[in-house]
Amino acid sequence: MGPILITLMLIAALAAFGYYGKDKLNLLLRARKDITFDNLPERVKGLLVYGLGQKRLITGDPSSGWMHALIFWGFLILLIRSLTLIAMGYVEHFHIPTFVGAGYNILKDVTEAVVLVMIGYAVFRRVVIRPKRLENSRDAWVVLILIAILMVTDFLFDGAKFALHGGAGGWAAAEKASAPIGSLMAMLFAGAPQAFNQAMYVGAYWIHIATLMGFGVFLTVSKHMHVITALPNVFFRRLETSGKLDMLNLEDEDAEKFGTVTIADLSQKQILDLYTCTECGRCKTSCPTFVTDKPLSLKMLNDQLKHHLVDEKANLLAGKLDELPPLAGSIISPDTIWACTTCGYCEQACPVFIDQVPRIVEMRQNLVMMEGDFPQELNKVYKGMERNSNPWGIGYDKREEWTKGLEVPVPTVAQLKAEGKNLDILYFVGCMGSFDERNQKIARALAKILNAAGLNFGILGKEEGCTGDTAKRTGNEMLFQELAKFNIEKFDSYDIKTVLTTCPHCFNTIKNEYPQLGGNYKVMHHTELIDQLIKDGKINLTQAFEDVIFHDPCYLGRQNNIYDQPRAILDAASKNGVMEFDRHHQNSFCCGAGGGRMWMEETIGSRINEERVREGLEKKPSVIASGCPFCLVMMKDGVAAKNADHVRTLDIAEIVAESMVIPLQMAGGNLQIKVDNPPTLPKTSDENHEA
Amino acid sequence: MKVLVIAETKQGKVKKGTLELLGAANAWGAEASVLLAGAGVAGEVDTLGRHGASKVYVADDASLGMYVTAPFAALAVEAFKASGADLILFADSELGKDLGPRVAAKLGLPFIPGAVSVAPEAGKVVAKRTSIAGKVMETLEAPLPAIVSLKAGTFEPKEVGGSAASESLSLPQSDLRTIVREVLKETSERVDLGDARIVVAGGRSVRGPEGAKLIEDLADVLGAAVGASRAACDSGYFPHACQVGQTGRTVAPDVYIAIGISGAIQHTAGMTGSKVIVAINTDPDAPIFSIADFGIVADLFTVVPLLTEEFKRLKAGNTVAV
Repeated sequence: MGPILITLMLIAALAAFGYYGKDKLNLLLRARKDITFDNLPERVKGLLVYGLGQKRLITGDPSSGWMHALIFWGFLILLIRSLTLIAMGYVEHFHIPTFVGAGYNILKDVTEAVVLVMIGYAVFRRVVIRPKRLENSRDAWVVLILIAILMVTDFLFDGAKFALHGGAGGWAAAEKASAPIGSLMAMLFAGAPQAFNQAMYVGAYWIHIATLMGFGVFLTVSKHMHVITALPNVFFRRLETSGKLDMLNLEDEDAEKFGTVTIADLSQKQILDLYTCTECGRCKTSCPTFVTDKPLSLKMLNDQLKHHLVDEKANLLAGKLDELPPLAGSIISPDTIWACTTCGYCEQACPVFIDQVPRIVEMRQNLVMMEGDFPQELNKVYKGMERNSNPWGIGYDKREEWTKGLEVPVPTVAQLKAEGKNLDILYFVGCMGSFDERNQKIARALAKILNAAGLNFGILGKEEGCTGDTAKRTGNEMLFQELAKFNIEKFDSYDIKTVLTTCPHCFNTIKNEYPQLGGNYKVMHHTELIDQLIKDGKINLTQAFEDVIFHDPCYLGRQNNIYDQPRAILDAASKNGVMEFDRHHQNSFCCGAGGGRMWMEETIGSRINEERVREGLEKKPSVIASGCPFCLVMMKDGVAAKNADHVRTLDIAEIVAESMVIPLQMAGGNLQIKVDNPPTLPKTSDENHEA
Repeated sequence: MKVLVIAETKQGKVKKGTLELLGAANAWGAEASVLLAGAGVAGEVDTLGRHGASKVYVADDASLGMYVTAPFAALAVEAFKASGADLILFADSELGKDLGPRVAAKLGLPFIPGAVSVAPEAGKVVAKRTSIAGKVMETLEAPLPAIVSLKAGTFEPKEVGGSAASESLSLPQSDLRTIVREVLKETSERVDLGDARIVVAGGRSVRGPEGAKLIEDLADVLGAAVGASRAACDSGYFPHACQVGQTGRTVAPDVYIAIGISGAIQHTAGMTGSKVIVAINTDPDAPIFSIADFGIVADLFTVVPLLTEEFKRLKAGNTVAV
């Protein structure tokens, strides 16, 4: 159609693409290297399922998900069409020969029609439906218009071409025969004057080509860069949930700072994350902080960081890192950094696996360990953990007081060792179970269950320490590692193999983060164990409850993929089975206490726990059940705030203890339990997150 | 044995804590000198003399009207050098906590903060203080010269009827890098939570301004400070400044009256140090009763007005109506 013109256009587009893309590539290359090809099969699988398969888009929000998937797949199909169109620039009569070309023509026409309809739906969403997660965006409109132009001009081009040259004996006759929409268009153009059709043929072609080139260049300067970076971002994703945060090397004597201070401290993957964010806002639909009006919108955070990155490119590329302002305070408000509950909703909702929690924790690390600038409430928490290994600072020697007055005494591991007795499981009680009167009841309930099942278990008693979850997630890595090493030393000194916890935070930390410090144990949450005990017939439940609704603790569900066991237990204990919140499983809504938020005031916006309880009360439950001491406190407070004191807030262990059928020989109380056939310990759920 | 006492003043008057420190020096039969720094404080030399000071180093200047670390630290160093003291005594107050470590660092002397008993011996000082949240008593000793700060009430002030010579210290102008222009205080008729010997605290069960008023009335008649649980503050019944607990203030009054507070750990973490805890709650199983010394299982709307009436009667000198 015009070899010289098309060559010039290609050169111009490539030059512009290179010009705008070069800086972004250089900004990526200069960053700290963390991109890895480890576990290649998993990465390839992810690329196929989440990248090409668009799984999270479709499951997360089916209507817009299918819309996006159809446009995306359409683009993959139409790539070939774009190439043939460019080829027509050089050889006007070019077409793919034989039945392959014919088949492709049908496919291409249908695809273009589907894409056009989807663009129409996208416009409808933005204008009429207006989902809360979308802000009006110039970039979005530009892209929708460009895509619509591409589809329409191709139809017009085909129509005019077939009207001119598709008649019997015309060079495009064969092509016309296999292009359903193109031939429809040709019928439309058939009556038009030759000159009009000729102008349409040439005009539509060049407008299409120019739009195509413009689209490519536009990607590099807009949020639609995700077209280029999304697949790499999915491929290089963090294979762990943010329940398993990286360990900071505090022994590094060359380290001049810890945590993220300026934009220069972001890693390559974190920069790729920024390029990839398309501001779709799926991260915030059930973000506990965004929903309750706190100043943390994750897509805005991405956006702010991305713009700051580009603004500072001169300094970054020239290595003038001293000129960069600290992120906290000047770019990101401290309220934003401290609002996050680390619940992980955003990360599992993101179709392209953008990491949020590690980045926020790294900013906290800098504020806590380098600047000493953190919410004042944490002062007391850190001090309490440092001195008495619990966040309240209660005397460490009171850790085993919850065992006082129990019918069957709970032995410490030290006692068992001294008496030469066996130990199946270490019950790691945690600070809440040890000190908080409400949670002590849960510890007692669990002790009752373990005794009824005939398990040999013990506690560390005064020798137990805080796991350090709060310290880790508020950025006090130094304190975390100290606390973790203390516990690991204790575990190892008693040769502990299996650790049972009632607290998902303890569970997560010991299971996912202690191995980085050399502590490798089989770790179980009590819901896993109880579920297995019921299945093995070691304990029997009556359906003593009714209308029980289950709140998924984030560090059990999203962060560790334990969804089924708590539900199976509640199904066994409840007449009408377990009820669900509207937001459940992966979409569960955080109670507001994670990420150290348990220990901070919530002064901005409405209260997260009240929002969650409101959602639950709509189902008219008689019990809100949970498997986490933090969640329990938050639910209890929320129920009180909603004046719904008739609703009980219980831990699953309490529900089981109340529903348990006690074997006769137990009824006397003080009998030592002897079990000839000790139950086998269940497997922990080590399956990959979202397997 | 020579002791230098660092005086604290409030509105031109020497504070009781300072006189307690002089009481300590007297009890040891030591020669006591005092650094008296402030604005319009020169008149207090007599008071110090009566309590056993033999020498007072005075720095009386308008610029010292409010405590600023640097000039006070410089003056303390100067007074130490002039007095030739073996031991510097601070009260374990906000001033002592701020100034003590600085003076110790400037002079390169050992510092024992927060002592509850102290005794100078030949060439050294032996002090005791509590540690690990009050669980153990540790005994520390330091070679003289040394610095010790004493908890309030460790020694009694005693008038011995002497008089003190005074010597003016020049003002270290160059150290005045910070100027305090104004100290803003939240004006409240009531006693500050941290200083209060009695705290009356309300929980969510006060249910509204009327209930909160009952708590305040009881506090007023007792001369007590008003505290509250987080839930009660969040509900707007009490200002957030009243919040006692893990994320609020930590208090340790002689008497803590918890009204309509269930006693969740997040609250009790801020008040378990109280000497006597009285709990009023409708729920006999409320955890607050497990830490309370006295408990009333009753509705606060019934019992609190009765208590207020009784205390009024008692204060008026009437006998208790039974």
